[in-house]
Amino acid sequence: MNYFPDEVVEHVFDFVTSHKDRNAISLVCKSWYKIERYSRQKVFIGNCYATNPERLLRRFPCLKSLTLKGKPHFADFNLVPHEWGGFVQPWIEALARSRVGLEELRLKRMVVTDESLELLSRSFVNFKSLVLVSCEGFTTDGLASIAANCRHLRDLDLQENEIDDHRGQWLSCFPDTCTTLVTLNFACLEGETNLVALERLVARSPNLKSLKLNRAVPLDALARLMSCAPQMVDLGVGSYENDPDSESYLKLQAAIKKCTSLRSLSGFLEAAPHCLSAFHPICHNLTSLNLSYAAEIHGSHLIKLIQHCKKLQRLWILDSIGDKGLEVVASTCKELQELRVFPSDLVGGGNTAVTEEGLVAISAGCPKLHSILYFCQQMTNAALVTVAKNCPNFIRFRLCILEPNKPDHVTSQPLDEGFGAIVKACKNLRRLSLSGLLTDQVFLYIGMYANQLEMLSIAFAGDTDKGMLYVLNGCKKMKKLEIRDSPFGDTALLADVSKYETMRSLWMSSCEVTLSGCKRLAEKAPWLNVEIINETDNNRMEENGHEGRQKVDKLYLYRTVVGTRMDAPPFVWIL
Amino acid sequence: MEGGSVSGSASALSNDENLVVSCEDSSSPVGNEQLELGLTLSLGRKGYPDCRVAYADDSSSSSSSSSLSRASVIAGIKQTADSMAATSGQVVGWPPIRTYRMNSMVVNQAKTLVSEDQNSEIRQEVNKNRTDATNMRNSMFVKVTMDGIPIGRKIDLNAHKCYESLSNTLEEMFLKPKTGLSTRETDGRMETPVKILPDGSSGLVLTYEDKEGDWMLVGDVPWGMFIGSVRRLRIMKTSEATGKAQMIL
Repeated sequence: MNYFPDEVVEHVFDFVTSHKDRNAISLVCKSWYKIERYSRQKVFIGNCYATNPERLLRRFPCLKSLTLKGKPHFADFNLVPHEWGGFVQPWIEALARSRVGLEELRLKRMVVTDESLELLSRSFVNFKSLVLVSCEGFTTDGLASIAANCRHLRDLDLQENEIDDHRGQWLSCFPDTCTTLVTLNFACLEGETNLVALERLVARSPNLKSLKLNRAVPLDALARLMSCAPQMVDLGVGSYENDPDSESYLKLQAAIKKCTSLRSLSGFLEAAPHCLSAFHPICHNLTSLNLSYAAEIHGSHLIKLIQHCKKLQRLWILDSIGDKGLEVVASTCKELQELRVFPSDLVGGGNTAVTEEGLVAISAGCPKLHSILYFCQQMTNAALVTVAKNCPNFIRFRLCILEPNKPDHVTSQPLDEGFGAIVKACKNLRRLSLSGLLTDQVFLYIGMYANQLEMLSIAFAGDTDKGMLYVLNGCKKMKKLEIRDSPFGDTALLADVSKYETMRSLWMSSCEVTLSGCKRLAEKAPWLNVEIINETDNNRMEENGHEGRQKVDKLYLYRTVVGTRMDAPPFVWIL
Repeated sequence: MEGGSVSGSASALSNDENLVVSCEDSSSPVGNEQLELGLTLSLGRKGYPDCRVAYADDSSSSSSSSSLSRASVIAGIKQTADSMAATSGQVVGWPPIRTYRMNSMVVNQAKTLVSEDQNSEIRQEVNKNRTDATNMRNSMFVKVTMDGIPIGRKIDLNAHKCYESLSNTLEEMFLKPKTGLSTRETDGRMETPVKILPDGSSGLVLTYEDKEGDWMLVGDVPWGMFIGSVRRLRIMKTSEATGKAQMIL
């Protein structure tokens, strides 16, 4: 390899695409490091505060695609105050100044402003792809800039963002010359949509493969859109309130039959309880189905639809499907790889829609299952043991028992043994979320068996610091650990400071860690940012002394090569 | 061997950087929709004696005792200092479902209630009582902005049962100074009258944007109907409000 010219080595590197592998080859020698950095086009930064734009550009001057993640995961559940950080503006400014040929930007949990979007749209001639997931801070005006200025826009994919909908005409800002769209997802917009502009846009986009509409797009518009885009592969239906006798519905049925390339169906954000049958003709081709927002569709209609979906690989559904429905899934969807079952009714009490039986049925019927997120009312150790035996291939296993601290509902024991069976059997497990009544024992199992575990979510679990220590000592590949309301304190936090260099981040809220413990950690590990997030008490903490014995509400620490960030709000104290 | 040795500094630098520019998560990649809903959060906390009531149904006494001891352990854990949680008595971040999804669920439920029954408020009251038994609450976060303040806030409407409590919380959020001083220490110069008053005696008026995109005055319709149609809130200066054609003053 060393006697080949650089161009040959670079050509070989072109075949190496995963970030992990690219990082590995960059460490082999100086010359490979150099070749690799000039040829890297896609860069992934899992924590935007672990580095800064200047360093990024210094190392990868030829980058074309950047993925950035901002707020910690628990921000999804309102545990992180809004003004915490994660601003994309400095990144876009730096990229714009450097004239790098940015083509793709993918952001998750970041604060994006209209100003950022405007700058983005004007700075990169070849910009093609914008994917925003769980971001906030912008309005449809920002979308208008993207539409108007990005001449080669291919993807505009907005997933679950909080966008101020000014009900402007952003869709009509796409110039008539724009014909390159492949993905258009605006399902999360709450406001009215300019249907005329939308239909014309779709009609002039022959490459459009993925279209996800918001709830303001009614049925007749859907029928027209599908008629002029029969090449559709991925469709997100907006509103689906229809009258089976109406002409619109007939037109829709006809349009659906022509969409023979359709592989993925989602949306139904406002759905009438019937008329899913219009989609039955194309169900046999579907590989992905997301009905998790279709609260008004009765379980029986869901089941009828699913019975036609023999090729399904991914299914997101509400628990209104019931255990019986899951049994139908298990017997029909033999190719199933990923399942998510969300709760349909949080008002409490009443229909225990899915239980451990549904989970067992799925594990028995779907041999290819590797990812699961399951909200349910009850669970047993026996069921989990069975699931582990049936499905040793889990990569992601997230179980959410809705009722707090619930033990095994048959034996009243903690669920330690059940989860223990999962981690023991699933040798490739990379992500795990725990729930139910759990003691230190489950963490002993996790530390012992979960060798590939990278992300672990813990809440209201464990008894003593030993629990957290089992995990920190045992899980060599741990990257993200997030803990809330569990009795882990300074002893566990400080036991092995160097561990945090191997992890991306640690979140601990409402645990037993104290201010002095955090201070000691920050002293021992200057390459960590140790953030204390405390909305009301921050000023008091230092004043009141008590030798730092007060408990810290929220601790978020992460490794970084650029030290303390400058944009932290006053309630974030970086030690 | 040429190129075979690894320079110490280069590898240290690149290793550091590589830790940062590291591999993609095993969690769902950014390209997937509706990612990451996490874990369930149990409730055995102080201030939630109802949690024990929930376990009274369990047949085995050992389970209730273990959950009680858990409750007392966790009761010692300092509660999250979130003003919204404090005023509403609600556990933050529970259940672990993204706000976006929660809001759409609540909107659907409210719609059903409103359309089914005239006395939607009674229905909601009944539901709420059932809710209290298991202390399970769903949140409905909406954005609140106030004229003159650049950063908006969020408020959980489901934490309130009536306009007065909503108004009180908004006053806390927007009109009390955030200096870290306890409220006892403020000199009361920020006396805040209830903002809902349409006579504008406070110079401020509370309005909301409904599903149809119209801006309405808060307080005119029954609470249940309000919950079913509200999209976001705005505290307007009275002078602005009178200008809006659709305001019912």
